[in-house]
Order: sequence, then C-alpha cells, then structure tokens
Amino acid sequence: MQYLKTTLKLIALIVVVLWTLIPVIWFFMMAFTTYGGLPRGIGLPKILTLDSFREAIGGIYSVLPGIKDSLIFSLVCILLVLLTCFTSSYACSRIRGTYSTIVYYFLVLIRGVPFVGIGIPYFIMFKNWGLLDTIWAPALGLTTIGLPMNIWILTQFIDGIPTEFEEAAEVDGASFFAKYFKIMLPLMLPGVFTILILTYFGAYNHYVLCLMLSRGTFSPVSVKVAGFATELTVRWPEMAAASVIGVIPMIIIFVIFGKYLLKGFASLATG
Amino acid sequence: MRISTVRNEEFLFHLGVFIFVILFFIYPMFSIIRYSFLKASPEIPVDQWKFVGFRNFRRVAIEGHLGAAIYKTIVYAVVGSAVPMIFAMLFALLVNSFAPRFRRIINSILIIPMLILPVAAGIAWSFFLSEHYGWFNFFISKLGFKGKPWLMTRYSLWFVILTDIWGWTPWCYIILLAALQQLPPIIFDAASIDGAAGFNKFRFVTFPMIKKVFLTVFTLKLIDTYKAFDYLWVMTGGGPGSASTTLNIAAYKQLMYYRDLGTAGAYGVISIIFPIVATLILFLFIARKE
Repeated sequence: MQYLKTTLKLIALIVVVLWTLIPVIWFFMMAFTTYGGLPRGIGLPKILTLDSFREAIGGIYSVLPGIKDSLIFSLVCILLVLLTCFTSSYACSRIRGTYSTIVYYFLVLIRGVPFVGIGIPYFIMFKNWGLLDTIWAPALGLTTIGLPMNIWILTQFIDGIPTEFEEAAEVDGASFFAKYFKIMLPLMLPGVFTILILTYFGAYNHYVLCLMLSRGTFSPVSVKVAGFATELTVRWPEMAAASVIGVIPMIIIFVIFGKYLLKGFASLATG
Repeated sequence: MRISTVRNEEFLFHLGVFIFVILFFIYPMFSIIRYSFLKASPEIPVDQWKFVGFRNFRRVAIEGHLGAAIYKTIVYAVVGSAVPMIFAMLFALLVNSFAPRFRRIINSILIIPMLILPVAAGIAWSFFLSEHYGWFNFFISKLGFKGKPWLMTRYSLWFVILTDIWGWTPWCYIILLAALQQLPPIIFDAASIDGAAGFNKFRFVTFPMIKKVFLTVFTLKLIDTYKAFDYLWVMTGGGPGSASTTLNIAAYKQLMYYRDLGTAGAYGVISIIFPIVATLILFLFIARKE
C-alpha cells in the first residue's frame, strides 16, 4: 500500500514536471534550428545551427537594444516604486490614520483596473503631455497599477517588525523623521528588496502598456520578440533565439535574488 | 500598533502615492468616462470631438458583440483562474509530502514558466498548436482524430486559456506551497492520531487553515486573469473573427486599429466597471459579516 502510494505520487510528479518543461524544451530547440529544420510533431530538429542567434543579435530586428530598453525600464520602475511605496507603507502600517484609510481604498480599486482600460486615457494624456513614445509613459502607468501589491506586501513586512525599536528611539528623544530614517529604514530593507525584485520581474516582462504607449523609439524585449510574429509569417527560430537571449537577465537576477522573490510570494501566503 | 504622532506627517508620508493616484488613476478614470460619450479620435484635434450621448454604448451593444465579449471575458477569467488554483492546490499538497531538499529542486523547475516572457511563451504555444508542426496535433492524429489549426477555429479561446493555465499555475503553486509550509506540523500529527487521513484530513484540517490564503490568492488570480491580454493578443489577436475577442482585446483594437476613441472608451468603461463593482460588493459583504 505504501509503495503503491509512493509510486502514484512519483507518477503525478513526473506528469506535472513534463507538462511544465516540454514546452520550454521545445522552445529551446526551436532556437537552434532554421525555419526549414523545425521538427514536425515529436522529433528533433533536422538542422542544428546558430544562425537564428546570429540573426537575433546582429540582424535588423536585433534584440540587444530591446534588452537595454527593458533593463532601463525596470530601473525606472524601481526608482518610481522607491519614491512612493517606501514611505506610504510605513504610514499604512504604523500611523493608520485617515489618509492611510483613503489610500487603502484607492489601492483596492486600482488593483482591479485592466491595463488596456486605463491605457486608453493614458494614450491621450501622455500624448498631450508629450510623453508618448518615451520610457516614462509605460513606467508611470505600470508603477501606478503596481502600487497596491507593492504597498500591501511592504506593509505586511513592516507589521512584522516589533514596535519596540521605535518606542526605544522615542524614549531617547528621536524626532519622528529621525525615527523613520535612522531606525526603520535599515530594518525595512529586506522587505523593500522583495518588492523591488517583484517590480523588476513585472517590469522586465511587461507588454501591454509598452505596446500601447511607446511604439518605435522605446521598445522592450517583449515588443521586440512579438515583432518576429507578423500577420503573414512567424519567424519561429529567430523569435525563440531572441527570447532565449532576452531571458538571460531574468535568470541572472533570479539566481542571485530568487530568495527575495520567493519571500515576496510567501508573504502573500500569510495574507 | 498605533504610535503617537501628528497627522500632518501622515499626509507627507502618503504624498507620493497621492500624486500618483490623482494624476494616473483618478484623472484618467474621469477622462475615459468622458471619452465614452464622445465621437472622438486621437487623430483629429480636440475641438472637433463631439458629444454623442450614449451612442457609443448602443453601437457597442448592437454591432460590437458586447454580450459575447463580456461572456468570453468572464469565461476566460473564471476558468483561467479556477483551474490553476485547483491544480496548484493538488500539486502543493503533493510536493509538500516530499523531503525538503527534493522540494527545492521541484520548485526551481516549476518556476521556469514564470521567467519566460509571456509574449514569447504565447508565440511558442501557437507553434505547438499549429496544424503541421505542433505536437498537440501530433498526439491527436495518433489518437485517430483529425488535426486542425486550433487557434484558427472557433475554439481558439479555450486554447489560449490552456496556455494561460500552463503559464500561471506555478505562481499559484508557489504561494500555496509557502502557505502549507507555514502550518505547524504538530496539528497534522494530532489529526493523524485522531484517525484523520486522506481527503478528510485535507477537508477538515488542512484546508480550513489555509482557507484565507487560498481565497486571497484566488481573488488576486481572478483579477489578474480578468486583466489578461498578452497571451490572447499574441496567440490569436482576438480572432478568428471575434472568437476570442474579450473586452480588453476589443478596446485595444478600437483604439489602436480603428482609432475610435469613443468606442474604445465605451469598452474600457465596461471593462473597468466590472472589477470595481465586484470589489464594492465584496467589501459590503465583508463589512456586513463583521
């Protein structure tokens, strides 16, 4: 009975792992062949070559500027998140006055708004402001839509920090802002890091707002990759190669900071 | 938890968020409501935009298959969030029964779909579902059925949902697993001693303890799936015809292809109203319960 149970468990595990991995492996294989060499059904590619990588790096649709744009975009989003969420979550956790309540209700509303729906007024708004086709239009939009998750996660993190630190500082005569900058900021850093990593992952992959608000001059990886699929044909191998290159920065960051990302997800689990 | 303080400081702390909310949320919301009553286009100057009352909404409802779009959006949101949650729950329970070191390996495998660009994954899946190359049709033809270019049939929406399930199950799984691991093991030992096992153990011991997390994640996932655009857009573009046109796709097409701000605004307002009304109902419900 015990053996049967273990076997069944292992089979279920293998099925799920295959279901997750087969598309990824296929995807990888696609990158190392040409259009003519693509496998039909189950099979290995007929031609093995690095041509598609050469095309994806050096061709007209080179993905490298896209990676640069994506990285800058993530960085801008991270800076905007730092400007807003940092202080606001502190107030939501520790002060909890009227303003915090107002912010809280707005966050709940913002969380539900679809990107396309809010992208429509953004399109006109940023056009009037002359920000269309720059990095700022999607970055400001994405930061706004990302506010709820970031503030919720950070607030929860601050809730976990004992208030004794601040009380001790208060007793010692620290001013409100000294308390915030000298005592709380260092303690908040791990939580801040978590939301920054989450922001990075959201921004690097982001597509909708970039597609709507900045065509041409600023195009991140996702827009570049989607560019390989046109109405008439899809250049599968080049597309796959471009996204394999495009995913490298994600993997690097994940290997280094994956711990914080998982921590961020785990903090949702305590919610 | 409240610490004595002056209220003005609270406003300073929220200043950044207030600026963002007013400029990039409240103002756009009023704008889109205004656009939905106008005959307007980004191409023509503002002074030629005309007020047309409810004509955009009427046009959307009569010519634009509004009902079908709402239906497809809801199907996508409900199926695309319920199925991953069930899969993720089952799988989290399964993995949780393995040794921790093993767990870590599985986690790092399962997180891979989250790292890949959704756009790239969508295009890759449209390859897997294509008529001559894809392995989906390969399996189907092995079973004796006739292969089809599935994304060009009227079932295209369901195949996009399949892709969405593939891409998002890991996200739900990671959170649910984290929730399971925070439960004290003593409770399970106690339950075992009392004779609980198998489904009963899950039904009466495990699930009640992670119910709150489960519902939170489910709500977040439901909202995210409702907002979904990437997979749909790169895989079918709303087609064939309007077979997979959800509210988001319809609004996007109206603005970016037909340059019709009024109709896009009407679709946009409808797609924004749903989550807001749902949230309000949820809040009233919670408030009444408390």
